Amino acid sequence: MLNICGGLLILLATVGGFGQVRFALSQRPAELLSWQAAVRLLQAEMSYGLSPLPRLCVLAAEQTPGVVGRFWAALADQLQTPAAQALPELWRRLMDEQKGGWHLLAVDLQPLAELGQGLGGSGLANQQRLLALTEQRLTNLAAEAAERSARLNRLLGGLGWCSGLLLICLWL
Amino acid sequence: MAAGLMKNDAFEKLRALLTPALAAALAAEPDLSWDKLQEIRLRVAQPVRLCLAAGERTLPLRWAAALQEQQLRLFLQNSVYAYEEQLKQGFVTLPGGHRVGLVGEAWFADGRLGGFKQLASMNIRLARALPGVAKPFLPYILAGGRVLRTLLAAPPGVGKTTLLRDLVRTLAEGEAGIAPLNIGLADERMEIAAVADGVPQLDVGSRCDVISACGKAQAVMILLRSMGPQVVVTDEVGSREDCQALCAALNAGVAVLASAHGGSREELLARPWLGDLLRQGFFERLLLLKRAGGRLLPAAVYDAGGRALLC
Repeated sequence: MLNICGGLLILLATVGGFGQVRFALSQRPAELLSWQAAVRLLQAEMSYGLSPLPRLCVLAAEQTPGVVGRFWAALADQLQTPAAQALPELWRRLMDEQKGGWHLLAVDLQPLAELGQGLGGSGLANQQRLLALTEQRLTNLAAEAAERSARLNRLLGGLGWCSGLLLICLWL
Repeated sequence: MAAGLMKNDAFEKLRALLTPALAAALAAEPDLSWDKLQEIRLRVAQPVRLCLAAGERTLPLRWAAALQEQQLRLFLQNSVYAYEEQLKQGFVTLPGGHRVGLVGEAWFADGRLGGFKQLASMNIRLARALPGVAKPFLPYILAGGRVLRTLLAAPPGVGKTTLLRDLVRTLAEGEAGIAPLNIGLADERMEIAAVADGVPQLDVGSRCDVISACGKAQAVMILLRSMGPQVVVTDEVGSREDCQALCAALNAGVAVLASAHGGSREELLARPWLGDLLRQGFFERLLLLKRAGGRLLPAAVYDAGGRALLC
């Protein structure tokens, strides 16, 4: 009985552990798609409404879920204060504070960092070019992340069970 | 906050956009009232200066380039693209209707002024509505229950825009002794109504349709075609296109209220297109304005034939 319980616990631990890794992998494409949605929102609102950034940030926060929405909400809050830093510094600081809770890789953060350096700082034509470029890069990254996640998902699922069973065998 | 800077909604909106350093310097000034403050002049490497009704006052705050940059960023809400067209014309209109003039090193794109970099100076002109300032002028612009085609003229800074704004409000609200009128307002420089987010920041009445940031000539034509105004109002007319648009209003049977820079009838007659309209009797009334004892009053009034009704 003890052996059975122990074996189940080991299996639970390995499947759960690899499951966490699978979950983290699946979050990466989801977050990239959220960022992409936010960028598309900015493109539309800038082109058709010329809305100032604080308002755009509020809209982006409302329409993008999870950690991405929290970033835009924090940015919107900070932009409303008279002592607000310039956007590039503010963006960089918020990214540094929050990226620990994201599931993005360094290659994913690069276009986001570049977006923050240029957002709001030039005329409409340049802003549209910046957003179009960022959207294209995010699209490519999201596609790559989704393919990678699907490929590794199956592998990790199998690894969880196999490693659990191996450990049980060794233990027994 | 110093006792002098009493709360006022429009001025509170401006105060919320000032850098902490400038807001603190203003708050620390004794006997400073928003009502008396006309302009705040910010020049890099110079002390901040205030233009008041009683004269000029210098603040103990040296305006550094970093402060200029920070102030502009606050005015633009970190959104250069949203104010791009205004920046090209050297001004930005703020919530509350205040206007910031900007000059510096100009840059050009495709032969056209693209804007200014390295801003050297900013001039914050505080907007204020003075309800009731139009009252002394009403007897001159109304006749037979209708609004006469009227031109208001004065040198810069006298109060043409302030008067025009209150005339619009008065006519739109039916406070002129005639039925309320639908007003079409061509607010090219966003000084009269100062619309932000679709809402006039300054009171132009509840029956006023505003086109902002659009050339006067085009705006008047759109108003005539689309909004069915009973009176068309525009500020600072002078070009051939402006005058042709006013003639279109006449053809449409719509009254006109317009303003122009000028200190005398002779000065206005000398202007190429506006002078022609005056000579042809387009304007049924020409009102020259003056400031006396802090009040805005008619200095001279002429009818369509140039006869002085008041001088």
